[in-house]
Amino acid sequence: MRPARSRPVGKRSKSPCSVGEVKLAIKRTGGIAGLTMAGQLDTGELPPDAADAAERALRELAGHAPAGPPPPDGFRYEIAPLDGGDDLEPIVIDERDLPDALRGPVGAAARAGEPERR
Amino acid sequence: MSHHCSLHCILPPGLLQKLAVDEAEEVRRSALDTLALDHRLRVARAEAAARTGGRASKPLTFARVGGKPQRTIYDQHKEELQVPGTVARAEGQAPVEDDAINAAYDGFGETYEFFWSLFQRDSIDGQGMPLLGLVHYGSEYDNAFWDGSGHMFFGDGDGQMLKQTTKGKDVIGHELCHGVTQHEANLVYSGQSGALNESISDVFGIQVKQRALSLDVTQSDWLIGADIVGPKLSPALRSMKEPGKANPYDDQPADMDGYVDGGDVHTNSGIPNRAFYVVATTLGGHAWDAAGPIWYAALCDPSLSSRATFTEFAKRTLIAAERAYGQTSNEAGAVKAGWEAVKVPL
Repeated sequence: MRPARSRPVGKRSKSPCSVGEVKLAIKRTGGIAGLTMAGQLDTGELPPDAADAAERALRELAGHAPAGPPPPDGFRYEIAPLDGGDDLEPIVIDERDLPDALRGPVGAAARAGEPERR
Repeated sequence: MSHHCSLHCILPPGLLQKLAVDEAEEVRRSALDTLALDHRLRVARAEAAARTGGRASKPLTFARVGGKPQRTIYDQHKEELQVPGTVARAEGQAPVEDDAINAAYDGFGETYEFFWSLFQRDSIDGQGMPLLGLVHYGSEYDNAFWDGSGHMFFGDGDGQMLKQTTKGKDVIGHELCHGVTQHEANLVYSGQSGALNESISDVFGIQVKQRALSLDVTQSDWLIGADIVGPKLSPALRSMKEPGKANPYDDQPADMDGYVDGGDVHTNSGIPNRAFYVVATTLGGHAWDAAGPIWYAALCDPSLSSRATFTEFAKRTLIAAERAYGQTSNEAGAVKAGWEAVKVPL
């Protein structure tokens, strides 16, 4: 149950590649501080091109899992769809493996989130 | 003399001994020389094999004398560029206007000096590896990390969680020590071996800071990251003296009773961190007088596995202390007391 989105009509035109706006739960672990940061990324708030690129990148990462532990003090992200991404799978990915299209938005979402007590 | 040529080959020691007994004076002397040389080579080979025990073998750099770092500090211009940006300050160059660049340069120098002066270790790999620092990485980037392939990245921080991360001498020592660990025990970065990997970086990071500032064990605050935290994480990232009390989010256990199964490597590292604090403060003076070298010897012990547990590491610190100072020494006693304090069985 979420409130209807109030968005200016025509802010973003749907192209064939577009999968629609998605709300993602972003969890970041690791880093020298060893803190867990939890935030959200709403692709509807990104510029249309960036949103499309981010969603495409996420789709291409379906099934991705890290091969081993992260590099020392490196960030690791858990990205899980909350709303509007029913066909998307949650993934776990090390920062170094993030495609550029996701690196910026995902990093900013974690930074804007709140630290958790583990 | 054809005898000489035939002797300096791969003749078995038994035949050489027979020649040394039976043959003419000249052949006998040559056989004896060869036996002596052969013995020295065998001993050297056995010693080298024992020394490298299990670690990846590396070519030795005989051309390098050591004692001087090779630093290059790059400016990443706030971009998340994964490769070195523009050179901001190279080895031997004068300070630049950017304090973050100078702090990285100086911190690299202090870390190099620490490992060289105390352990004659020539850089991260012991072979003079260049020290590459990538400063101003990302926008408001709240981290500093070692990428596992020779680069140390430094973010500027968002000002709330972290500030400019090159400001922490302990942080620079911590990151470079991840490289040292990678070239020694190569502790797997999860579970107890991961927490040990983290702790060893804190242990040597704090010593780099203490040595650079000439602090003895009573003068140090034993805080990690005190110079890089913003108001949200004040006063520090971690406390080696009182794990769990460094900031409002600090969840480190202070002994095995609080060990978190499946916990983050930065959580359980509080346990071996406090063991080191107890050992160093029990002995007094400077942490690098005895406690640091004991920890370093354990890290470099060829028998330490990459999946070592706390107990396996602790045992090697005790062996190192007993070997260097004696079984009934204060140092060995302090090591036992340190692990006992955090309830890690020896």
